[in-house]
Parts: sequence; structure tokens; C-alpha cells
Amino acid sequence: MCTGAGTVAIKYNEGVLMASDTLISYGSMKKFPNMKRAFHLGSNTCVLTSGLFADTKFLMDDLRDLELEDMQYNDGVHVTGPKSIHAYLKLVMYQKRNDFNPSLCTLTVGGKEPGKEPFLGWVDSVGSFATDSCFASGLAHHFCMPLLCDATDNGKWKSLTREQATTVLKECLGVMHTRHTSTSARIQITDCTDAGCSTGEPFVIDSITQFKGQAQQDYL
Amino acid sequence: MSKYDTDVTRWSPEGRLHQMEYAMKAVEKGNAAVGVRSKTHSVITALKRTPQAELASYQEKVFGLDPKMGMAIAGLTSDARELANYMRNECMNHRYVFDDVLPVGRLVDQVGSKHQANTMRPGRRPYGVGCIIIGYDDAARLYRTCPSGNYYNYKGIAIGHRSQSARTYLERHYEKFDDMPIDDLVNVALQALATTCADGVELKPENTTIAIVGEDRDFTAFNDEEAKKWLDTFRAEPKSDEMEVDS
Repeated sequence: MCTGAGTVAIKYNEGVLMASDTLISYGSMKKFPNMKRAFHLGSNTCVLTSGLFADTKFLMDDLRDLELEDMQYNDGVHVTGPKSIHAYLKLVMYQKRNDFNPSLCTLTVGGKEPGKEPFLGWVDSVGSFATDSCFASGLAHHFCMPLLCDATDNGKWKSLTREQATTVLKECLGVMHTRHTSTSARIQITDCTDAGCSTGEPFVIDSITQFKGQAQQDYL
Repeated sequence: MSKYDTDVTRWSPEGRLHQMEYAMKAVEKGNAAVGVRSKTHSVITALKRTPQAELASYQEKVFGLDPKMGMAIAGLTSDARELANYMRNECMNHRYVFDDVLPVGRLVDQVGSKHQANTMRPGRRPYGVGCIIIGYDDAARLYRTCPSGNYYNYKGIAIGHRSQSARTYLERHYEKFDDMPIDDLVNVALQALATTCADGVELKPENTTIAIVGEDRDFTAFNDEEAKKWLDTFRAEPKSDEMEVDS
């Protein structure tokens, strides 16, 4: 029962920024502290996962078949754009739910194709799907959505820079680490732009320790 | 005609499949169709066969396959209809699963495989129809399929009866197609089609179909009234080997 905690993702002016921690938990045991939870597909799409990791891996292997088909044709055509992956995943998830065989994970699909707007979509284990300018899955949905929406609502994301977006995501995951016991401070950020998707090296962030309104405690 | 032409599954000693070649001849008997493309638009023009009497409707020459894809055919219309159904299904399925238009090259590859299967199976005959397929996925596309299963990507092509003169015309002008505005592109396609007309036959809204697809427009076929926009002002260039006659 290995699970990944929450993920966060937002659109910014040049593409999509997606982030999660690198921890896979086994219940309350921090079993795999250095797992990459971002899956790259084709040249422009990245899928971030939260929930049952095994189910996700299985789905991603299935998606590799789409990549392979493109490779086999080798005609310069790709059906692995972010919108197409999102459409495909939502159908797969809904079908599995109908068959009483759900993949118990929430997937965030992001990417940017040259000449098109950045794409960010979300699919959950019952096949609900949506596209928006920011998403948070798992418990991050409860903790982080206000922060993400503040930064991106009403088309604000079109003027958000990469640095600003990174700050927002780091703050979100800092909150997650502080409030959610299964989120570690070691995070990884994926940047999806016209040049493709690239996932950075994991790094450790500070958790939020100062809270307004909380009285200072002196420990003896 | 030959000892080796009864089955498509029999090679001739010269290394030919006669049935396949006969199928390609069936394509050449159909009325002409012309396809051209620029970077942003693809255009088809086709000559409709005159109906037996005013009681009947025209034979279909142009089939819409998808909001962003369509084709003109030459040859057996019934074969064409079956292919069109298949292609429409594939396009629709792709849109449903991937929320995007099926890349035209992929569809044409599948159609090519379908054609090829019928050249290799006993008891089946090759499709007797050639298709000019136009579409817009990330760029304007123009393909031609053949009963042999071969398919080709083109900037300009013509198939059907007397289409060689159209191909010659297109060969002379294709270098200008890429950046041509849409009305000029339609005019070029009509000029090429006009070269295939027998003497005394002119392109008129009653006998010509025009179809266009592009980045800004869905596949639309223009017949009769709608085709007047281009055909009313269309004047065929004099054929190069004829003398110009003042009227």
C-alpha cells in the first residue's frame, strides 16, 4: 500500500510548473524517501501522481504504449500531447471505475506545446476530470488551493513568471510538510515549456515554523 | 488478357500484379479531381458526373470525413463510400479518445494498409477507388491513396479521367502554392481541373464541386449556389497548345 502524498501544479506565463515531494509512504512509514513522482510522456507532457503508487506505475506503463506507437510510425506525428494524454487518461480511469477496478490515484497532467496555450488537467480515480490554471491533489487540495488560486485566478497566471510560480509552489509544499505528516521536505519541481518538460533535482525546503497569532513558547 | 490476371494473388512472370493495375485503371475512368495545398489551406476541386436525367442526383465526389478532413474520389463510388465510413469512424474514435483531430498522415497510413490487405488475400479484390485526402492537423495536408496501398504526400495532385493535363499544369505552378492566399489557391485548382475538360465543357456551378479546409475553417464542400462565389468569376486559361481565339 505505497502511497504518494499531495501534488501541486500551476500555469505560468511560459508553461506549467508542477511539484511534489519525493516521499512514498507505507502507511505512516516513510518507506521510499527519494522517488520521482513525475512521469514524462512524449516530449511535451508530464504526469504527476498522488495516491497508490503501484496503480500509477501501471497506468504510466500503459501510456508508454502510446509513445511506442509514435516511435514505430516514426512519421513526425505525435499523439502524446498533454490534451490528448489527459483525454485518454480520463476515459481509462472512468472505464476502470465502471469495471470496479479503479486506479486509486489522482493524476495531474501538464504540458505546453509550441504555439498553443499551456495545458493543465486533472483526473481522479473515479474518472472525474477538469482543466484549470491550478490544481492540487490529495490533502494539498485542502491546504494549498487558496494559495494557488490567489496566484492564478482571473488570468493572473498569464503574467506569472517562473520565479514567482516556483515561490508559490515551494510555499505550498512547505505548508504541506508542516501540516501533513506524510509529506517530506524533499521536493522536486517539473517545468513544462515549449522546449519540453524537465524535472529538476530534488532539494530540501524549509518547513513553515512561524505562525502569526501563535504565542511564543519559552521552553525550560 | 493474360494468363496471370485472374487473381490478385498471382504474380505475372514480369513481376506484376495485373489485378492491381486493372484496379488503378478503374480510378482513371472516374471523373477528374484535383487537390492543392498551401501552408495553411488545402483545396479540392472535382468534376461531377452529369446525372442521367434531371430525375437523379449527382454521384458523390467529395466526402466529408471530420471537421478537419475530407476527400475527393475517382473510381468506384461504392468502394469509396465504404472507405469513407471507415475513415469517419477512425476520425471520430480518435477525437473521442484523444480530444484532438486524427493526424491526417496516420489515417492515410491506415487506409493504405487497408488497401494493401486486399491485394494479398485470396477471394478479395483491390479497392477500385483513388482518394485525394485533405485535412488540417498542425499544418495543411494533402495525400493521395491508390488501390495498390501506396500513399503519397503532395503539394498538388490530380486523379481521374484526363488528369495528366492537370498534373502537368500543377507541376508548372506548384512552387507558388505555399504562401498563396485561399482564393488564388482555389483558382489554381479550378484552372488545373479545367485542363481536364473535354472541348466544349466548362466549369460551372452545376458540374463542379469545391472543398476547402484550413486552420481557420472546417472542411466544407461548396456545390451549386455556394460554388458560384468562385465559379462566376472563373475564366479558364487557354490551353497552351491551342491558339487563342478572340470571342
